[in-house]
Amino acid sequence: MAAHAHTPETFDPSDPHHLIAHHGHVIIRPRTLVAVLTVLLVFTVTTVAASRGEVWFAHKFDVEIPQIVNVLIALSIAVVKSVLVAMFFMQLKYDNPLHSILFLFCLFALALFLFFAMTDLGTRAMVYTFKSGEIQRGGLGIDTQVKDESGHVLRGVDTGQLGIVAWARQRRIEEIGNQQSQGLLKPPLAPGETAEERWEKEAAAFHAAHGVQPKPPLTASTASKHITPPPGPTPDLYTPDAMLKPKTGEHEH
Amino acid sequence: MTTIDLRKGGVGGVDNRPYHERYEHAPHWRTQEAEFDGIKLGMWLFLATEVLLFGGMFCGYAVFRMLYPEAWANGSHYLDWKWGCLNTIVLLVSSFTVAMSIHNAQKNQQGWLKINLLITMVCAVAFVAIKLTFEYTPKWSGYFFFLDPALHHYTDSGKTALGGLFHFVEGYGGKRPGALFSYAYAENPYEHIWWSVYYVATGIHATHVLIGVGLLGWLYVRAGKGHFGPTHYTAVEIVGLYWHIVDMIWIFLFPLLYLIH
Repeated sequence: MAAHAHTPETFDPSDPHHLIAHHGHVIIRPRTLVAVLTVLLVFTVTTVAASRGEVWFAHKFDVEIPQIVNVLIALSIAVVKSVLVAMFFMQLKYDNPLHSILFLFCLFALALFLFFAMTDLGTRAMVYTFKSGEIQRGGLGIDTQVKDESGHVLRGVDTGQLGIVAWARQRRIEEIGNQQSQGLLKPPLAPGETAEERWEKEAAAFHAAHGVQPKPPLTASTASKHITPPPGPTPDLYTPDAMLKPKTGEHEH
Repeated sequence: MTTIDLRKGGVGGVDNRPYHERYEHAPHWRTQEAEFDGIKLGMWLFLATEVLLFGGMFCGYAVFRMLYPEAWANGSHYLDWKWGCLNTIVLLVSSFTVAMSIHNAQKNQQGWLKINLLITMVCAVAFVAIKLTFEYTPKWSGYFFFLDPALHHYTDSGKTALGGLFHFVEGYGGKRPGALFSYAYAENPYEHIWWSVYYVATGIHATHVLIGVGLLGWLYVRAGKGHFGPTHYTAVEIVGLYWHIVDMIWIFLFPLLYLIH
């Protein structure tokens, strides 16, 4: 059966000789659908292979591949798969073009949304570094408690001034210390070993079990390239005339 | 019209045709075709809003990935791409079967219509089951399913739940979103943000899958009553469209969450 317009078996008594051409509902061949499914599965395998291959390549030749490569490959394969799903499974190819226009416009609106959001955030530090500052503050999960009017804590934990990730780590270290003092630790801490060192051993074990090489702790030089500005007013940004101290030799009349 | 249609029982007879043949259109539509086209257009408008819903989440993903790239690379390592790949295959197959069910309705293949709807539902439930059992539960609470291959990598604490169905691995759990975070061995101070994005994006997607299961079940019941046929399969068509959008969202979520390094 051809995948062209195929009028269903309806008999319209007001038009017995079928003189009025109706838009038929397209019946897609099962063969086409199976072919599209096969291609989609192949692309799924391709996208996973590309990702694992990139890891292998970077490891084998000791090069560092920028993140954008990974994103571009993955997203382009995903776009191809989506186009196939839209055109064949959702029948956009055989439908009223209005549906395609509608869907494409929606994607355009989404692209506009992402474009403005990302270029704004991505270029904040481009000219003035201090402008990137505010986004970097926070995000550590330091103040996560939800309190009601009287100050009772409804939800969340009091992390002190630590980030929530650091707080979870501290809690584990304290737990090891408590268990050791109660004699419940199995196996016990070696003589001279502290709870911190025990935590580090456990962390190494977890990361090894998941196949992740533990990274050295972040320092100022190894941290992300975003710079956290010092607190307080920005120096030399604006000084009112009244506060300007006369420079030596300036007021010679 | 004064035509006497013998198929409809003639004058004063009973119309014994199945529902899908008897159905004409709702009174506010002029023809059956106008009804089908109008409903389909309305569904596409709704799908546009669904894409924008997930688009907002993708924007959040993009913004936080840009701000905390190490946390993203770290976070992706916690996810097992094998489960993601399996879920992708399950959803693609379900997309195929729902497209086939539309074909079956168009060809009046009532038996196959019900079978394909059922397979789609089974795939959807399998998707959510895999996600909950092998991904969410171990990460949230540390309880691994007893058949989970990853369980062999960790020391079993011996503690079990649900009569040995789930085994507790100490220290693994706690990978929770935002303020609920309590995993002790995180490598990056912003990892709770990664988990927030992960749970919100995949959780809202999984909710949509569950809604789809409900819709497909409704279709299955109606198919059993003979509501769908070559001239009337609008409901099958639009639930199929919904299902394909859900599949499309996952096609984007999978590489963005599971395949970064």
